[in-house]
Amino acid sequence: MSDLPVVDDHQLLKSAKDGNTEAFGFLYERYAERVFRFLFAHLDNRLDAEDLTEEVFLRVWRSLPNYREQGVPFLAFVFRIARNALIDHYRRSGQTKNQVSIEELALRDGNPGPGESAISGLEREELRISLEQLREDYRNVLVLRFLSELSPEETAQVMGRSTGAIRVLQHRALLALRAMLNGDEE
Amino acid sequence: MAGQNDDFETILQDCLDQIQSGQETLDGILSKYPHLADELRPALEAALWFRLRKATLDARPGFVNASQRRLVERIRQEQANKASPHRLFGRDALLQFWRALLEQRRLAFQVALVLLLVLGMVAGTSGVARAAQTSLPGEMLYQLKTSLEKASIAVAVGDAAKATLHIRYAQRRLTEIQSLVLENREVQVAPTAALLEDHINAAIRYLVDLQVKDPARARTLAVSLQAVLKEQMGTLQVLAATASQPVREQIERILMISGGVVSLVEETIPSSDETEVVVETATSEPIVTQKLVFATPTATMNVSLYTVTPSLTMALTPVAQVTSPIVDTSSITTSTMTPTATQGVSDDEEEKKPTKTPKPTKTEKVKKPLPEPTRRPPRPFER
Repeated sequence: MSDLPVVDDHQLLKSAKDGNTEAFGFLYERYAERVFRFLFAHLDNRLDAEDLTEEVFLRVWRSLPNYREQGVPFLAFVFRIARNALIDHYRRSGQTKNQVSIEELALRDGNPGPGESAISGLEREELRISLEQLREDYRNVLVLRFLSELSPEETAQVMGRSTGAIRVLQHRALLALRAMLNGDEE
Repeated sequence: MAGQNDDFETILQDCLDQIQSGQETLDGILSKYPHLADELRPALEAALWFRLRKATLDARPGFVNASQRRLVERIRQEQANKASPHRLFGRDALLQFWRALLEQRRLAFQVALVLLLVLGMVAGTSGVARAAQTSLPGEMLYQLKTSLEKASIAVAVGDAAKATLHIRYAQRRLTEIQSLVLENREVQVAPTAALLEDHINAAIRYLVDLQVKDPARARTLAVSLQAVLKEQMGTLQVLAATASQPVREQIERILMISGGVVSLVEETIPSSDETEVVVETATSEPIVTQKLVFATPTATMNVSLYTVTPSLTMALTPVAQVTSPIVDTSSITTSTMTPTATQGVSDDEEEKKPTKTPKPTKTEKVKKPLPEPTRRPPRPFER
């Protein structure tokens, strides 16, 4: 794993597609954190987010034979699968995000985890509650752009829109968030 | 107006990038665009609020590493379950593969094949193809080079033709690896070595199948493979002595595999006795084993190729004199094995053995009476 920074995605993908699990492990190491943040921002339970992160990459591995680099950037490919996995998770758990009340969200997973400060736990809940109050497309664009750190181009691929549309959408989403925060503060 | 919006969105994007990178304060960014400060501020404040809370959604320390190991192990387990050697190498697996290809992806395969042929014809007559032939891993045209190779293998008819191509391409990968080391392009060495291994493994698989139909041709090609690998071993040994640690490990791995194949052919082809050979090649792939049978007009040799982690060893155990020169296809068996154990035969094969046959130890093969010779039906694509 020591050569992680010098091996590019293309090479790792090629090896992974040839069945090299170690190469795929490198890709996981590279992107798991971002996928985890995306999932954790939508879920109210850290353990669910952890399990789902692994599930996403298992699906990615199974889908690798169908992946063509020329089509969609790899990260966008991963996040498309992550979105689908999230939808499946909601179906399995028998609820949608809209069915979970803000109050309920505030109560869940409120305890700080190991090594996590109480302030950090509160900030996370504040972030998640704020996201819950946004329109779905606003929430998605903000999470993908600012939490998972996808580029506008990659976000566009994940959300099935043009890059220009994503830039406009993120601007509106930021303004909506700002207005909401102002409202909260007042 | 649209242009103004575009300009604004571009500036906003630039400002957001700076916010996310943490290179600049909000006021510092806004001071660069005083005429847009009022419009930019709310969006940038929200982005900053986001950035400051991003860390609260970070994974637990150690989660990525721990889950990576779990995931890789899970995938390997899945591969091991899927890739039973029968499916990889057996006739049924090939039939199943071709049926699946023909039934489920008939159209896609045909279209892809036609496109590859057209690409091959166009590129083959152009300077692009010539340039691609000399390209090295990591270069733009290398993808074309390997694509043309794959196309050649796909359209080659018969085991001999496919084995020949795999041997040729194994030779190419070897020379590429040498060039990469000499040019200090170390990053590309590992993936190229992986391709080399694939070609060697594929060549051996086709040789085993060819042995059933044309033992003489199989022997000739086995000797060719041996010669190709042997020729490069000296140079690789020299390069390994001066290469960096990661590259040296890759070269040593190649040398181990090459040495195993060379010894295998040396020990088996000239022999007049039936000889059972166990070769273990180092790989990180799921562990599979396959038992191969080489036959000469005067002798039959059972060859078991094991793919294990992490080292290569070879054990030769003479087996009883054979009277029948006919190949025993029924003894072409495969099995899975644990990384730590080195067993000579599969569990299934064990069950078929006479009860008095002792169980194989780590590097010992057990003599097994040859069953009645069987004739393998031709594959659909060979018709």
